[in-house]
Amino acid sequence: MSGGKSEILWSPVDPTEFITYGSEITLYRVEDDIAQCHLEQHNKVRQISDSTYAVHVASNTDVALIKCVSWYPKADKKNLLAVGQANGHVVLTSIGNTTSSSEFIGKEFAAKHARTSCNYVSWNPKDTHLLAEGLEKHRNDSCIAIWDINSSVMSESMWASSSRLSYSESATITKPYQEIGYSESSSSFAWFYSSPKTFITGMNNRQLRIYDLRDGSKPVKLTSHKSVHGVCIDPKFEDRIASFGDAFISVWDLRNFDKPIVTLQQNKQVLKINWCPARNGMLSVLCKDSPVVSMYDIEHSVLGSDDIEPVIRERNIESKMQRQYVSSFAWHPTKENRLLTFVSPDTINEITVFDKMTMQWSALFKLTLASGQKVVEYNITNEEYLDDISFKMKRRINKAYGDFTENVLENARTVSEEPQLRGVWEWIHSVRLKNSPENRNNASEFHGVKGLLKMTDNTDYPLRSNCEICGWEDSDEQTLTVRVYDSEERSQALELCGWGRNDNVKARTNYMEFSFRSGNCAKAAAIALFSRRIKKALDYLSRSQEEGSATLKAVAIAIAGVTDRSALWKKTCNELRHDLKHPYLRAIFAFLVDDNNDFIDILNDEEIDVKDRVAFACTYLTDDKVQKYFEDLSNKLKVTGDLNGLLLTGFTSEGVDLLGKYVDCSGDVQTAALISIYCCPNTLDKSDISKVSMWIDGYRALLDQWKLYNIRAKFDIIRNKFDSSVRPAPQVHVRCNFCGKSINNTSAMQMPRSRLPPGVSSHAIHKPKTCPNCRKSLPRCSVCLNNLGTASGMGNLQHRGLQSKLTPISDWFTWCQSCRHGGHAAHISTWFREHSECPVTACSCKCMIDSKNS
Amino acid sequence: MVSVLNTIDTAHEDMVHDAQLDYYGTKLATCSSDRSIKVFDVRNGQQTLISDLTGHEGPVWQLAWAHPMFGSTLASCGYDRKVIIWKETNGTWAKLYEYSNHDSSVNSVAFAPHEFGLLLACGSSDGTISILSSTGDGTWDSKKINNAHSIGCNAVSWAPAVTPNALFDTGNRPPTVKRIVSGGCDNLVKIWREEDGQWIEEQKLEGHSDWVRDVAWAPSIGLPKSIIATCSQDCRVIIWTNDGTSNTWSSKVLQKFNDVVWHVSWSITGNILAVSGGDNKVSLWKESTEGQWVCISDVNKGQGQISEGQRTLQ
Repeated sequence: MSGGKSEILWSPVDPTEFITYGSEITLYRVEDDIAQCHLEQHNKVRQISDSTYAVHVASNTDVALIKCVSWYPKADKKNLLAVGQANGHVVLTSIGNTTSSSEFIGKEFAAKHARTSCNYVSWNPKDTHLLAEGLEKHRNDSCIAIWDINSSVMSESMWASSSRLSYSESATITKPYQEIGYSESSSSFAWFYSSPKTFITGMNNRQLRIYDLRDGSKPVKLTSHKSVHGVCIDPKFEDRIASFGDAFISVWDLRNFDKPIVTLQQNKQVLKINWCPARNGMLSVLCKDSPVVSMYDIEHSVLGSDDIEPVIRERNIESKMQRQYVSSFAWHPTKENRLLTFVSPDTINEITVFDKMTMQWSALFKLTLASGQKVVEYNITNEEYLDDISFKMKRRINKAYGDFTENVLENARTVSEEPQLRGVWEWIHSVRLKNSPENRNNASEFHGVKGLLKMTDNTDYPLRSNCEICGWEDSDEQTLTVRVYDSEERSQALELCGWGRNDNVKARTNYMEFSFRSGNCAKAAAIALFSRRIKKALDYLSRSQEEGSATLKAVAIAIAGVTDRSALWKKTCNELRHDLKHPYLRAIFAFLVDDNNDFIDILNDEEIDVKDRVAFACTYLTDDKVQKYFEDLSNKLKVTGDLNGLLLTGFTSEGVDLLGKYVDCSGDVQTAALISIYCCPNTLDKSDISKVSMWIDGYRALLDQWKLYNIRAKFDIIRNKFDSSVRPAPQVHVRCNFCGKSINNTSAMQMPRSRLPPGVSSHAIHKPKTCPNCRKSLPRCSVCLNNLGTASGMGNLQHRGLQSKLTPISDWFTWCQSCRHGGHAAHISTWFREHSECPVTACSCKCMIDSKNS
Repeated sequence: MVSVLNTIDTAHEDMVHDAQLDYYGTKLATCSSDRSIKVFDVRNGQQTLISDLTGHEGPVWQLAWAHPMFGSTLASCGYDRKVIIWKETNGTWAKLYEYSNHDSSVNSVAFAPHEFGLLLACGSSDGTISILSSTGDGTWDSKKINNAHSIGCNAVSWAPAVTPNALFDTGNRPPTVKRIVSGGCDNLVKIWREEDGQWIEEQKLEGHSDWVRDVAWAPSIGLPKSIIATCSQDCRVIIWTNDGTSNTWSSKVLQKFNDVVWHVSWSITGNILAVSGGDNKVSLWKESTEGQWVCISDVNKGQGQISEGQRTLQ
């Protein structure tokens, strides 16, 4: 720009157009659609934000010496501009589509002779034929000229003749509609929106004055202050005015015009200030040589008394794309929070200033955002989120995950697509199988393989396994032998792994068959081979129907050659086995070619199931090696929080650590809580119990917050089943009419968390017909007239025999809330099937109706 | 998909500063510069205005619901230096308690986990944090942390209460420690712990280079480790973690955003972090199993149908 400053202006009527002016005036149109822009010449398009483009529409070079421009504020004369020139003239011109305003184009206004520079031009927002011009001081001339654009040279000449003033030869109109401020200077100006005959102006570098055109001789109000530049009126609140001096901004309240209500000091010279048109009391400020436009919240600064810090919120608006100094900015008149910053003619940025948004997650996975005057609730249902643990938990709840206390394996089925969890439930299942029901809740029940092998206690009780050199069970070949270790402990461990004891051929075969049937014949074959049943292995491989069975059959051929076991066969197998994709096929070869009995390739293959590796180690590793291997493996699994590690650690302190790690990694407090209640952690030490109860309580609280009260209650019931010590204290008691004490067996109350021998319930001890405290009889059933506490005679006797410790609900008390008459629940409900009145003679209480209504 | 479920026109006369759903997500409270608080019933996608609470003399910045065991109780704070606790009794909302002992705008309120009782933390521009506690007989006690953050405290958040189960060992259960995290204009994040009835500074976390705008302590269901998310004017979100055994916190910058980050919020299980920034976007973040934080989605507010056109100037 040729030395002059550049400015930017939005069209007051067309929300997509803006102009920039400096030495010339250029009109741009804002486009959102890049496709639209491609039609235009490329050099005319520039990107002004991530999603918007400015298309160059027209340029106007007709007017020289541009100092300031004001855009005609109404739509009737579209794109009519008033240009104030450095010589004090005001010229009307237009840009782009000009048909509606052609008669005005070229009109020029200049009072008398050439004058000092024009400081501003400003259209009156209502009386749009009026145009204000501000000038520097020049002798006795006025500094504010209000022009009427409808006045013509003709009328001017009449004026001129009547007032004996000469007029220039050109079409310049020289007689203003009104003149104000003789022998003064005016630097800034603003019309009031609601009373368009009045305006505020900064004059003589020391005063702000308010004038009314109806009496322009003297100001209506004035105040003396140095901040006389850039005066602007808050469009949302007309009593609030801002203006600036050299490096400070003053905010005024017209109702108290003596001194500014807020003064904002700036480090640099202020270039421009403006109120944000869509926001209450938000003042934007641009300083010289600054890349940012700052925003000040004035509205909230003036509340309260003086000692409150003057400006409470400040925000800097900076273009993302550029970091150059901004020379001007313009708020979009209608689009909220839209701002244009002008850096250079090539760099115009459109910035959207977003409001602070608050947001919150609700319990049911909705995200609530508040912005502006609205609140928006989002539903998060994306597939990606379904992966989130809380969604998973809810899905599992729908499948009744954890509900199957008798057939534990059902729980595994509900999470069949999650192998780790399936593994855990299978483990719990095999622990259950291994231990007869009488042994349940035995302290060592959930001790895991490490516990079985006596690795957890510090006694120097060594494992003493028998070592046998075994050949292939179903092969005549005698040259093939392998060392097999066996002991009671190892057999138990094998049972836990699902392999069955070494001597239990049936269990082993079942396991293999199961693998085969579920489509994993390589695994079946590998386990057959590990059980030294080579023919069975070959059988599995050749029977395979699955994809890639050709490979399997090829493998079978290779294995069949094992009897040969030549060096060449071994070498080839050894080289090729690593190319096999299937981990169990790799394992097969690794097993066959292994000479030094360390089987590292099998044991460290992470693609092989942990339980198979554990079982394998239990079979083929020496006592020392197996212990070391389990130690290493469980540590490894503990670090990653792999639930398969529970097989090794059991539900011990170590297992709780592992589970903790799993919860850390997955957030799956549900599984942790379920495992905890199934494994009944009574034998843990305190710090572990506190962890475990954290999961249990956390899961219960979560269910509560999800309003899944039924699920939570079910969870509590299951918990009770495994650990009767956690039964919560009853919250409702039946009270004796005479002594006021609970008729519920006092014995239970004296022994909280009762330590009664198992199977003997306190209920079974006495089914009282009398209050256990005062020995007075309980009230009678109003139907059968027996004392309450006796059987109603309607319950299923067989059923009661089964669960004799529980009082069936049909025998239990019930009563009307109004008349207090009642009896056995079964009798009362039978009665009210046919009657609506109380069974007690002479009581006319409509018990049934009342209780329905309440 | 992230879909708009509901758009609620709050009919506030000025900008809404906060919107909080209650514990069950059935009541929505909003507060605004128009000095009022509105409570809506938002069941089944419908919203009904239940109450319009007036009492603040300036913009109301933030709201907090108490746990339902304390009834329908709501706390609000505002520019008028006041903290007001509101309570619904028999369908009528009324002021329960008003606290006006701050010297400047109160920016943040947060109720403690219900295990601690009815306990409220308030962070103010006067640099202090006050902790109000209900004594149960209608009176309230207050404690103050002076000079918590010079220039001002912008946000407070409570650590979840980790209570060992009383059923297992009633005898000597370790007392649960109350902790608060706060962020302020001194660019610091501080962790406070209550000890013998006094609040002491436990940690000072330095990492942000501008005002800290929001802090959020992750709800830790069953997790021994603590996670705090903080966001700042410096456009960054930092995730602070503590393994629960030592006193050291490690930090990880989630991302440098393009604009100010206003808020961070954890999902109920503490697994997804929502971040709202000055660029008008809400993004959702999740920690991968490798411990990396990955953005799983952007929610653009523009989709929320708060299009500019709807709020244009007349």
